[in-house]
Amino acid sequence: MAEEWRGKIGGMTEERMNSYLSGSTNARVAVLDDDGRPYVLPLWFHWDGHAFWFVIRERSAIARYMKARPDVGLVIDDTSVSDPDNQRFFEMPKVFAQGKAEVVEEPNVGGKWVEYASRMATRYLGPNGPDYIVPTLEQPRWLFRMTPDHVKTWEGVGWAKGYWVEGDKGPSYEQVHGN
Amino acid sequence: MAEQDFRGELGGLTREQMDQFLAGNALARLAALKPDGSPYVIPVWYQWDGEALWFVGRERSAWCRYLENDPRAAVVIDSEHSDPDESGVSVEIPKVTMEGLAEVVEKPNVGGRWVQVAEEMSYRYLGPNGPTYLTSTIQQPRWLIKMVPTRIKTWKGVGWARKYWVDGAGGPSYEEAHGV
Repeated sequence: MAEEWRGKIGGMTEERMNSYLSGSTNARVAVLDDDGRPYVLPLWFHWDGHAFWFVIRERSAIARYMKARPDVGLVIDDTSVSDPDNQRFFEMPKVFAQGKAEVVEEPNVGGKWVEYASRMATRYLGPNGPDYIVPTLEQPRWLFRMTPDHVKTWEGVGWAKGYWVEGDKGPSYEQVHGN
Repeated sequence: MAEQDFRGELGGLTREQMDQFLAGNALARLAALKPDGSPYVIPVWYQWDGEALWFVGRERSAWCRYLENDPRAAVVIDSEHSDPDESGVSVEIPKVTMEGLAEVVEKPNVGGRWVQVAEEMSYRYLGPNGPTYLTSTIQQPRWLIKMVPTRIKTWKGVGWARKYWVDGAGGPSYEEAHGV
């Protein structure tokens, strides 16, 4: 029998992924710096079902890097979080996505980014979130969109079968995962 | 460590705060390069020994192959708050970023030095019974990978670093927005 603490093991349905991505976990976003080395930071994101949106401060290096080299890899993951309806926990949810970013808005004040920032502030900071961003609304921001060409999801403590090395030693995948 | 940005930077962590935060159970998000040069990032357990980050990866994990192929790596370790210290004080929104070259210390093997590193990690991430959770997969071959950072940056709190603030864009000044 699979042990209880493992939770459900496997990929997420699209519906469940969308539900998880409407929570308040940061994306950890990796881009390439001027030398082509990886650079990674936590960022707020908005997922619209097709693309990830990022609102970034004018002077952030990550925005400059993203514009110069649009390849982006990101992961959104948690140890354990309740779903937005508190119906069912996500145990070790992970969403990996890779794709190209595009500049939707160069740094500006008052652009479309404000609407995205307000929605994100509500998700990440709660109902009063938009109030907290008022003192910095006059600070110019970039608006980026990354449409993934590759998405992978995972949930639960178990290993994906493809990672398990079968051999003479130790238990089999089925013995460990109870199926 | 070539650069020690964590010393004295406004809003940065002290070395002691950084080491204390890194001794907690936040995950690392490790970025590597795919063979086509694009970035790839995964959540992973780490162990910080004060000089290097250590990672233990499953034989078939793509990120280990990527690091063997191209050792350039970047890591962010961040959290909503650190574990409280003895006096109950925690740091809000600590962030540590590191860049460096990864070194394969052990190719995938069973029973190598990685076992001890994995056990140390399991105490931090899973608690006092951590190592018992590892036993069912301890015969699965693992890589042992080390990264000595050549650059470290730290940050804490919700405020902006001064250099990001654009003066004269309209709205409040940096000092007004940050109450300083």
